[in-house]
Amino acid sequence: MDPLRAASASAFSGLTAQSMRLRIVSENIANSESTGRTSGSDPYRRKTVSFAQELDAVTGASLVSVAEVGEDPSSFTVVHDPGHPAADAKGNVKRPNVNMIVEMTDLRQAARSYEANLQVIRQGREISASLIDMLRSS
Amino acid sequence: MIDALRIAPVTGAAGFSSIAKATAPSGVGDFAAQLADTLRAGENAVISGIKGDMPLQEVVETVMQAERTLTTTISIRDKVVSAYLEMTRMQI
Repeated sequence: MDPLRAASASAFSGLTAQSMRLRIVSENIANSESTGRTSGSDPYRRKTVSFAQELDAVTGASLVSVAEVGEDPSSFTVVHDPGHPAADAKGNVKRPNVNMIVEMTDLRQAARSYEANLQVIRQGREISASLIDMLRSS
Repeated sequence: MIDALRIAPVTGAAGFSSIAKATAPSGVGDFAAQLADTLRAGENAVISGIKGDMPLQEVVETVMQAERTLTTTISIRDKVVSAYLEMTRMQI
């Protein structure tokens, strides 16, 4: 199979995987204030995403795919807020274990990785275009 | 190379594959059918992209694949045609 096509297939799988990562980051940020509804219930638990290699049957290229969307098992932060609907008997409310700095770093990383994959696609297209131009100009 | 020149004129994606299958040798015919399939996949991807059924990355990938196949085919055809014209201009 054409190596350039295989390269573009892996780069495109990278784009899809990073989009998924962006989605998870977006869900975490959006739910960074989501607490439970009933007294003492758990708030939103931060989601994590992991990637795995996957073999493309058509091109034979190693693609990347989303292996698992898991949950961050770290503990919730507890705030004293007796008036809150999710407050327990002692007046403590569990807040989501979403750390904004971590999410922003993840967001930045996803964007950079997306750009890197785009650059691969751009370069591959340039190479194949100039190769085809060899046929034209002579 | 003369065999390759028997490619029927392009009249549209659907007509192309049937004409090519009828007149051209099987190698070229298969290739033409494959080309028509790739182009059709590109068209379908555009439609699903507009509807929002397909992820944007996949739409772009399929369309780019169709574009690359088409430009390669056109370039090769031009080369073959120019070789043929070169032969017709030969002094006898």
